[in-house]
Amino acid sequence: MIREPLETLESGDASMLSPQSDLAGANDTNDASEVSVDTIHNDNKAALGDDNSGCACCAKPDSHADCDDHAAHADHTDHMSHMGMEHAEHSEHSGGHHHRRGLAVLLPSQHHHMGHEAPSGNPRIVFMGNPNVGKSTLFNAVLGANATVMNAPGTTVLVESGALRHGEATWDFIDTPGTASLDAISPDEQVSSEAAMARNGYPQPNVIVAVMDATSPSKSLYLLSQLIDLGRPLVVAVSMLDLAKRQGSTLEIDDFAALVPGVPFIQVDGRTGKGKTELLDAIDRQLSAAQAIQTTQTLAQPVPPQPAQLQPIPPVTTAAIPGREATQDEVSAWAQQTSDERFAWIAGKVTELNRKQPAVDKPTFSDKLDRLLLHPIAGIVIFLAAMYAVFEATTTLAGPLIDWFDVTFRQWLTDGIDWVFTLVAGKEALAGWFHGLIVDGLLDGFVTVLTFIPPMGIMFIILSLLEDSGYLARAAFVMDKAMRAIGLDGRAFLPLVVGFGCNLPALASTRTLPDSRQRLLTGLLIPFTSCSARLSVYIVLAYAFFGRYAGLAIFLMYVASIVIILAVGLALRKTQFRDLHTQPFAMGLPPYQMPKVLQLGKSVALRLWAFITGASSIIITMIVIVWLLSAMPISAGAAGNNTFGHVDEVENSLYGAVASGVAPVFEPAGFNDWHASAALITGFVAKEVVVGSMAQSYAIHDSGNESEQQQGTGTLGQAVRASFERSSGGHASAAAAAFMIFVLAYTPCLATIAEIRRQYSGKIALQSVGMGLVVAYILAIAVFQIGRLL
Amino acid sequence: MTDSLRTCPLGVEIEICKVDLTLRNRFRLNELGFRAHERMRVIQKAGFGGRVVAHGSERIALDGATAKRILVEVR
Repeated sequence: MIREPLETLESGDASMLSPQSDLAGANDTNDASEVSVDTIHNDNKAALGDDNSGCACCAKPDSHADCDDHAAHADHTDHMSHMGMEHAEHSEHSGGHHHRRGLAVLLPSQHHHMGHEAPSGNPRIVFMGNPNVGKSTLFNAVLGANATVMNAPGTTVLVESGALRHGEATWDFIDTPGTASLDAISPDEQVSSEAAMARNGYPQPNVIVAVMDATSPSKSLYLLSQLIDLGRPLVVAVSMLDLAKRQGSTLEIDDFAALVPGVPFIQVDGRTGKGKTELLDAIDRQLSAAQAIQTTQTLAQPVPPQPAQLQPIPPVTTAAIPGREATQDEVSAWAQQTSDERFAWIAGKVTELNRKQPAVDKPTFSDKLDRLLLHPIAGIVIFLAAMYAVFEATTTLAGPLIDWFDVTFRQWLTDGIDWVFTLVAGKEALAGWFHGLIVDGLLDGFVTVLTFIPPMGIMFIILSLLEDSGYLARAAFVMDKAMRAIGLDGRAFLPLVVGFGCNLPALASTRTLPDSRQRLLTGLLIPFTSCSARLSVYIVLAYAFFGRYAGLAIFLMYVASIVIILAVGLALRKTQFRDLHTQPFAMGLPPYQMPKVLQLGKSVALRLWAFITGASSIIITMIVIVWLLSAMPISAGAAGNNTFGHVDEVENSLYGAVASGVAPVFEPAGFNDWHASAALITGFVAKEVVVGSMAQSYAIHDSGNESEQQQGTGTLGQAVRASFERSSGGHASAAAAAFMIFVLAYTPCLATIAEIRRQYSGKIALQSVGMGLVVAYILAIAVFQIGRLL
Repeated sequence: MTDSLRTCPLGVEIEICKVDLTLRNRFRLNELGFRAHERMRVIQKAGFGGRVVAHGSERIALDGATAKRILVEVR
């Protein structure tokens, strides 16, 4: 089995109008090996009759009007034009799939989307299942590194997809968000519903893989009954069967298979990869069966007797299935209209299962653990302790590793670069602008990316542990009430806590939120959590301006951070997120499981790689731009020998000119001073360098041995006090408080912006930056204007 | 005697009588198994009136406000 990333196959995408164009496109654009792949795709497509040749599931050729059982297919007659639309859409989208590097990342880009894009012509395998059934774990076990996360069209709903070569064919896999029903109540569920029902421009799935939790079969049976009615080829992956057995169940995979004769049921364990091969074989059989039936129909031969798994599965309900143009309201009406039949079907199936196993009434291991972890008081205490541990791990534990990358590894690389420069161009090359660009621009950007690996890696390990063990679902429940005030899930507490350590892993942890709107709201609030990098700025200014009240001033910054989060959260809830309804909290709790080390390691490595490849280009590019600005002289300088790459003072560089140009904007906030605005511009790149930038702008030598407190009470503190005294008209403390609140509220760092862009979109990243600047500016003015009156 | 899922005793078998929520929310709870005549047990009290319900081998967590709106009868 050879795996191939989806992107490598996209040259064949623009070929959905006809099989001929498919082949032509392949010959025009692909090398020989890829041509053979596309030819196979074409064969598959024609043979499967997926979209315009016939109804594979009921074995009736061409006309779905004759297909009594599958009313949903009645709209296939307009499918050719529909595919044309997808083709046109793809033409627009295709540019967005090329990897953008360097300066290109700063240009407007089409965010990665899936679903509405033209299908590649490969069979489309759609994973469906309830939340917390192990669907995504299974998906990742099947796809591995080939899985990429992207947004569903026009939404911030995250959907994983990827291509996999199986034998001679390549299949496209889509993992949809967990849903209890095709009757969606959230944007995430709507994406799942549309992907399964091929509505709203989604292509028809060739096979639906329904993931079923063996520990809660009745919950899974409801969704399964709806999927059966869709009439698409189906494979059921049964997860957690081993866990059900440990809880006392005596059911085997055959007992589940007997529930729906004709549908293959495969026992799987995404954590170990068990059942992966069998699952792929079952998908292959379903595809081949559909192909065989279609071939027979096309050749007008009499249908030979079919084995059980090739025969159409009788639908659970008899009502007409909403077509591809159906609205969500029509799907809701269908779900409600058929619910009694469906509930009766489930009751029958559960009775069937119960006949085969004794009733298990005794408390399970998970029940016993939940007595403690969900206890009204102990549960909250344990949760807060767990959050504290996460916070400590992503800050204290990551600290030495960050320092190692930032100091030791940076020195190794610098020494190596110096050695190469000396070897190639002699010692004088070390003083040249090109060496500066490489060391202070590119290398600095590269090392900055590396310094984020420890906190991100630790965060990903913790997230995997929390998710895989089943505790994260409990955390959502424990903190549900507290987070409802701002319309968030209890799980949003985790990212917000982690944000006080570092915003970057906090953003990464929003992926655990199942609702895309909540995920977006949390992502917009995280930059207002006061990360540890901002602390260095608070300390210097607090000791410089507030003396013995410095501790109180720093503490108030953290209080201010919480107040801003609540205020902005409530404001967003009343405006952009008015649609965020507070729905009843009703969630299936998965049994506790021991995470598998190998799977965990793989998952962490994949997530880290996605972060590095997704965020590094913008971080490095911006750092190089800042270097270029500071390397360009705008005046000859005191000695009259400023040249590109050799500027004596920051204020004589283009960077200093920009800072001077920006400074008057801060007049109402009391810090119309180019040193302050230069520090804020540098702080946009990273808050860690704000103090260093200030020292540099005042031409104060930073020995690196002074603590922030010493810097605040020393020469740097005096210089800043003198500047703020001038700029504020004698209200330096008020101006310092305004500056601190501005540092708290505006954009935390470039890496955060890159991560927001990676997770949501460029538009959302811009919104985050804009919102941070506006909030920071308004608060800074308010603090200064009130402060000067005191 | 009709009780609510929030106030009924722990560990005893109950039967769902009514889910007193809006149509949309009621139907979703129906889909999750909270349907009239279904039998289950409340097995855990959680913070803010939340409850964990055992429905066969499934465990479903409900917030306090929702648990209060599910009317049950102790069997």
